[in-house]
Amino acid sequence: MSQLYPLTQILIIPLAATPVVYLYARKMGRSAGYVAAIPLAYTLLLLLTLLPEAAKGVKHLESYTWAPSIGLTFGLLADGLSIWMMITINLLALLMSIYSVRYIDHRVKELFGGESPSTAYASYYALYLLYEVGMMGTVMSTNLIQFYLFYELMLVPSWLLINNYGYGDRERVGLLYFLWTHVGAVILLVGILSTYWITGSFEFSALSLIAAKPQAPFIVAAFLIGFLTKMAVFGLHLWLPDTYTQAPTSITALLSPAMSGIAPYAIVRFIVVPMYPVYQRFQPILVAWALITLIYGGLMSLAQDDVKRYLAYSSMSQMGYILLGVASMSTLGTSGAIFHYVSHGFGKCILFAVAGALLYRIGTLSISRMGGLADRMPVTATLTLLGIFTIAGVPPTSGFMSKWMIFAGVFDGPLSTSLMGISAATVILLMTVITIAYGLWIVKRIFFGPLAEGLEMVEDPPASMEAPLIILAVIAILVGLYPRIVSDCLFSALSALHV
Amino acid sequence: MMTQVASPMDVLLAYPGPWLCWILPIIGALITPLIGRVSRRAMNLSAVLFALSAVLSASTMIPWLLNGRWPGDVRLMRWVVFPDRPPLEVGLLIDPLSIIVANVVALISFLIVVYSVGYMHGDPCLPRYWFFFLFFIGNMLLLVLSDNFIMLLVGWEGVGLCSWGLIGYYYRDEKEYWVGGPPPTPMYSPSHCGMKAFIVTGFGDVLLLAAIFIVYHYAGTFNFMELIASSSSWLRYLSATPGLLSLTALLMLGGPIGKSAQFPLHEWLPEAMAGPTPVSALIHAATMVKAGVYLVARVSPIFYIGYWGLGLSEASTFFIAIAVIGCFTAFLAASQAMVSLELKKALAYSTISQIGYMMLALGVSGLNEGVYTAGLAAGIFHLISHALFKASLFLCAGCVLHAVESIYMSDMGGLRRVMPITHALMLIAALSLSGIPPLSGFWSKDAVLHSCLIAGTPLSTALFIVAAITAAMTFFYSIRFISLTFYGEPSENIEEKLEEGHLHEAPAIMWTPIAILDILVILIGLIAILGLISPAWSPEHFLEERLSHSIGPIEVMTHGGEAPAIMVPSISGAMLLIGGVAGYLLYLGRKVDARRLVESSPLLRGIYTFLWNRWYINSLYYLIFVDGILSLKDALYRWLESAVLDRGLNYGVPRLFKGLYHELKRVQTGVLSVNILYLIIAYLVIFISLLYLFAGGV
Repeated sequence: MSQLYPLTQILIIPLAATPVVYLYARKMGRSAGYVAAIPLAYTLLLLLTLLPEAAKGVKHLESYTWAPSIGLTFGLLADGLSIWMMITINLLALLMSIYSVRYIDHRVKELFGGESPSTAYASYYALYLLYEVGMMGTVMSTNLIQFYLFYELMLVPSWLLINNYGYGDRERVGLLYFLWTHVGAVILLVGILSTYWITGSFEFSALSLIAAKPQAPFIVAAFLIGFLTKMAVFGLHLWLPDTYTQAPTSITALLSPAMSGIAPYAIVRFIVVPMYPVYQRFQPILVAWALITLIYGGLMSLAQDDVKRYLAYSSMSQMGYILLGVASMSTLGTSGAIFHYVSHGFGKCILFAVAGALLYRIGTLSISRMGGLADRMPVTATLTLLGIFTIAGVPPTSGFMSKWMIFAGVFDGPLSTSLMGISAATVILLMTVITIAYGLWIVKRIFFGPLAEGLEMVEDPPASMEAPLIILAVIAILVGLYPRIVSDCLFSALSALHV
Repeated sequence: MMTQVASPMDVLLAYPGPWLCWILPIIGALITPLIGRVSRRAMNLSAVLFALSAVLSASTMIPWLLNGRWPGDVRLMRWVVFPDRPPLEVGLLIDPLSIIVANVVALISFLIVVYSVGYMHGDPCLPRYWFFFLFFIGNMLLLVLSDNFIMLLVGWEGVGLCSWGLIGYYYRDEKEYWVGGPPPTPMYSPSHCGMKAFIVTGFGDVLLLAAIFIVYHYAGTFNFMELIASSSSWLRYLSATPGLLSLTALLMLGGPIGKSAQFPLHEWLPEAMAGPTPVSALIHAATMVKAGVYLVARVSPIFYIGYWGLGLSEASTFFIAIAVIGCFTAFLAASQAMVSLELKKALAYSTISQIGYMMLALGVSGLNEGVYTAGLAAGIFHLISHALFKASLFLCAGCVLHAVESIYMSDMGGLRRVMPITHALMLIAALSLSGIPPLSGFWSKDAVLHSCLIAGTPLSTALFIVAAITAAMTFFYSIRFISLTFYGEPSENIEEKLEEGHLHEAPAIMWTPIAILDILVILIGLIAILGLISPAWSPEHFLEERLSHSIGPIEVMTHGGEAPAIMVPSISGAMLLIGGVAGYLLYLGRKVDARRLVESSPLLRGIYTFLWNRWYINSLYYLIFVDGILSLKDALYRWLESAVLDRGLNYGVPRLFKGLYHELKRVQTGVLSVNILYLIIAYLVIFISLLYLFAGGV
């Protein structure tokens, strides 16, 4: 297998496909989405071949000389921790490219009227593939500089996609998104450069060397602020609602579930594993921050009338959960956090895509103008429910598995050492009821009750928009029934965390 | 206790019954709606057959129960493998407790499914109904049979999910399906009620989760048998932190209190009747609310060992709390059943009250070393007998509501001539509920009271008194709802219906299942009479003997406190007399006009208003948790998110820079955009902090 350089292929093939898809779209228009799906399907297969090894704890590494003068190599790594990140990103990108065919066609026609320029399709799919490459590269990186480059690489195409295809005042929102996450990235860069300054290396392995240094807390803080901005925790979340709402829905379906979740992954990779003792000092802040984010996001989503804005705040709230898992400082909780990234990816992608379908069919996202749609859109209603159950952790979806692992982790880590800690943890859990509440409430408002005016002729979206979501829902349930496919990988990578 | 290395297929083949019993209904839930696309009749048949398959598979376990040798813990495969702890396995725990409850669940669910075929006839959304219904049954059986907490939680949440789907079944929220009222008392739409059930029980579930993970942290396993077997070590370890064992016990009870609708999480159940009536029967009799009782019985050995085996005084919190909560809830709900206007609501309060009795029995079982098996057996006995008569009551209520098309008892009356079969069947069930000998309810309620009495502590005696008073109230409200429905003068509504010729007896497919339930109620009562002659026949003795084995490694003292055999029947007889006379005077004989009586005395009027408003608990919860949270989110959104954060940072800061930029433009007519400036400032800040970090030599 290693002769085939699967990870290199995963990076190169979508990249190489970009011009092809661009040219194809110039000629053929919207159906380029199916063409873009081909390389993504291939890379997904490659990833699945790596899965059995990753579950056994084998690391798959491909490295190339890059800048020998500073000892820099260009490495690509897939291990138990990252494999499911990659599978999720790749799977969502694949399914959303198929979903995009009808959706972005609709959007482009809205933007440009009847004779839509074929460049609009071409640049959409080209940027789309670049965005996917950026995310994959970030997750596969083996050193800090490489990580940073890809981290920025995923920012630029996504900004352009928002800027060109978004809704509302999309230029302002695109900029808002760019600036916030870019400033976050720059703070991250400070941490990266300081690490180099202290250890003389950019490799991830060097991170453990600074753990004992006095500057370590500052570096950890820089990393954390950088990543927490991307994660959009409370206070650093201001780019999130506008961005998720105004971005084209197929892109939001990647922004929220796939991209912002890279941050907690990076926290685990950069901080939790190599610098556990330093990280421990940040635990109380992070737990509190996670809790505030979780509740605040939940309350805000209750306050929304726009479906996408609602989902945006719900993403914020779910990032609170993931942060809680990461902050639990236990193997179980940290694994649960990454597992929840996967579950949330499935669920939230379905939900954003459903929002896109509502927009596609009804032409509005205002909840107050919906109601009683379960009759008219039974498939969409069922998918929405499954999406919400996946996020709220109702069995048999994978969300149940990931959530109980986070919860168990909270009681398994340092919080469990005192009665106070346990009581606090219990209060935290009690707050999580709000996620069920905001999930069910929106279903009630959109799909239940009497049918709203003017929606008598609405029906389910076309098959190319439905099928990807059905596939995701089925996968979410299968993973929920056989969680070992994910948990074995995570435990093998994080067992060293023993707490 | 078998730990197997056999292949999953071997395990399935060795014990097909327990596995199929919950898997088949779940498969049925997926297949039945698909069959509905071909033929409605075939779909109904499929639903009935899948429910029957659960009964048959469950019944294969009965021989184990009778001959006293059961397989115990049967494990199929590894589900989650942890790096540092024993793996979580997919396994079933087959012991007397689970065999009994599983059979009750399967049988009663099956009868309700048959009834549903008649009741739901012609409903356009039947595929969805069958999906949730069969999924409900499958999840409940999974919950009962699973051998570890995580699988139990899967069933537990699944049951909650199905209850949401079925309570809110009429999701279009047409006015005719609303419950509550009449105005000015608030009315609730079905989808609202479904959500209420899911969220209120969700609170309990989260508490249970916390307890499970605390236990897991100390014991390192989720498996019930392993938890009991190793309890002497991990309980000591856990109790080293003062207060933690009490906390764990209370949290552990949170789940059952929510699911079984006990105070303070009882307020969802009265609204849970917004669904179709067979669903109410399912929730109240066979599934859902029984889950909590089951779980308390399942984990109580752990706390019994902690308290009586290891001498950890905090372990008694578990028993004291559940006994007090159960007893109080029994009283609370019975008092509200006495004033309900809706027939199904009276039955719903009665369920809450009767579940309180079961919890009480399970609670007092730990208050005295020798009462454990008696209390456990009484609780489970009452579970069985309540399941039978409550299913019967709800199904009869369904027949009545179907005919009179109103939820209020004031729109009924005099129905016994029109619906003689329903009347007879409901009467038997109501008498059993009231504890009239020789029906099953008499024996099981006396068993509960008896276990209270023989526990012999001051607390248990106090609880006994409250429980006995509640028995009087039970008979009173039973007479009330039977009289208002079937006796007296027909109401205007009934007169109209009679003239139109719409009133009719329920079809045979609906009353046959009820008749079977009533026959079982009578049968158990008759067997119990034989038990007076020879203890070998006594259901209570049988349960006591079987359940004493399921506790695991420690020896249980089976004979503790004693009380004169005649004492409980005579006290409960006196209570029946009080409740009966009052009920007769007010409702059956109409010697006294109840309304005039209430209005004549300010005290009675006060009590009536208090009870009618549900002790004000419901409105208080709405005020705090619904209105409070909704206004909090609005306030936060308006004042913090929009005004300060979004306005300030996303508009204010750029505007500031824009202002600066206009100033700068005068000096330098370059192409600086706000954004680049923003970035430069960001970099500057970072550069300065870098300097501070390193040059400053922190």
